[in-house]
Amino acid sequence: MRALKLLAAALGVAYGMITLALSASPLYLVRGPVWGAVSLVTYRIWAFGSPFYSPALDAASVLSLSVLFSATLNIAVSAWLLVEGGHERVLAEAHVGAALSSVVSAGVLKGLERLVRGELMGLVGSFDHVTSAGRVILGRVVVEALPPAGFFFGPAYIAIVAVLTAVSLTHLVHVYARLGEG
Amino acid sequence: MRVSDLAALMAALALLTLVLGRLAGLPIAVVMVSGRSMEPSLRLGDLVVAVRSGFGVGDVVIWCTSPTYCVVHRVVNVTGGLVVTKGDNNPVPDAPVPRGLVRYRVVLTIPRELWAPPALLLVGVYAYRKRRALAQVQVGRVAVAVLLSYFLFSLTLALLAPTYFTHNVAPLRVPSINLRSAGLWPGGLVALNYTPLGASIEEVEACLAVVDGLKAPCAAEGGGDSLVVKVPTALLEYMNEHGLSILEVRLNATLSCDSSWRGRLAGRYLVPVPWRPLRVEAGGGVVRIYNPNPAAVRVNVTFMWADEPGPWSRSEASLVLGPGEEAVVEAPRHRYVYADVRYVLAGSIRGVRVRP
Repeated sequence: MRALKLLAAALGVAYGMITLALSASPLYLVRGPVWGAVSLVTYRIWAFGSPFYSPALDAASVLSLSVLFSATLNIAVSAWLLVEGGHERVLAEAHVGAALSSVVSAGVLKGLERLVRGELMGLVGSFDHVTSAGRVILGRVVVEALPPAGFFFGPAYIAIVAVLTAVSLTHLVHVYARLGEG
Repeated sequence: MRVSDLAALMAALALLTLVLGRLAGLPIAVVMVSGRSMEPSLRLGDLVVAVRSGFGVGDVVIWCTSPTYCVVHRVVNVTGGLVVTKGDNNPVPDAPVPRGLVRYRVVLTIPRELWAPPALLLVGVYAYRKRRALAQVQVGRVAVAVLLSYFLFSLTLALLAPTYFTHNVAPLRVPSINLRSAGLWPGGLVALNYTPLGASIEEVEACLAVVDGLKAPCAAEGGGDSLVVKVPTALLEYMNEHGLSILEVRLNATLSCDSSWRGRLAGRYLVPVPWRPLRVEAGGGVVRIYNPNPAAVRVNVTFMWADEPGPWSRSEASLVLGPGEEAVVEAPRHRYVYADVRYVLAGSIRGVRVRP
């Protein structure tokens, strides 16, 4: 029982920390005449030497607060689960609530990935063009997904969420079963 | 219900009404700034209070094309039924939108520092005070309460922030450069004038003058919006002798937008070379010949003279007149004198007969 509680708390903290770390990490690198790095919560992109502001990436930063909230909630509730002695049922339920929020958050994350990738794909391509002065060679923009993006938006992250939810629910069932026995 | 609970409920309802105002078309709405296009006037996370009212150039307005896609930008032009807006931080204005899409005029800005920390603190204090009550409630309520708090937070974010759910890639100002004019100056200099559109010429890396398959390196000076190319005189002389009047200048140059970015320009320019006849004037015992062309011209002057009727005597003089040069040839002093000036121009022999 204690092992299950510890596992649920550890998974909650791990999920939260991984999510916070990945949200702040650079996920995409933009190279060429438009260059910079994009993470979930922020981005710095320069286009031909001037800062570039994208409404879609700004919107993604705002909406990523939902993902960050779920991560923080999981860390806080898991820490509470570890530290607090009493209120076992309340803590187990809170942990399940936080774990379920991570499921919703994973869906939000998928949407944000599409939003960010769609915006960045719009920048990909050659900016060379021909004018009366000749061929203006500006180069080609390439977007590269970094390894954290592969993990964040891939099946491994979904697996962590699934395991967290499953362990949290199992812990809750055990808590209720023990209360029933008592 | 306690007074504090009632106050919290009223506050939540009031906020919800204001947040939903944009979607429901109420006369007043609260919107969160979700982009950086209006910096420094409006920053990401600031709340704006907007009302339905008239607007003019300079006002910050909210226009929406759908319930989930709204833009908070400043009006820069109103023409007829169209309104043009622009983010203070954007390089280019937005596409014009019909006046009917402009829903609100921003009347008040609440900086993020003023609303976010107190709001989080209030929610935190409220949750802390309710922790014991939560412990007493029925099975599953705590889990639902935690999940619901997450849903409410996410929903508030989605409702507050006018967001993009369509892929409209932000407009990029792509640097460019156009050719304004290309012409030949005296002395075999080709002047190239450009119109820079965010990019100007920094340095010429390579320059080549091409005529009839013949290539010769040329020197180019200048930068910014103009270049001067020095075409080798031998090439111009070749053009003159072979009757060619189109000179091709090829150059590769680096373009600069600012210190951190470089582009390149590969230009091929066809420059017409107008071959003009030499100006030949005679009088006062001399013949004056002026070459207005960019290349040197070889000139033969044949004098024919006689003092009385009979056979003509002849004397010849050859000279090379450089570009823009004038030569004065003294004629023999006799009663009857003619000068026959012959030269090759644009591949053909031209001649002028004058009486000094």
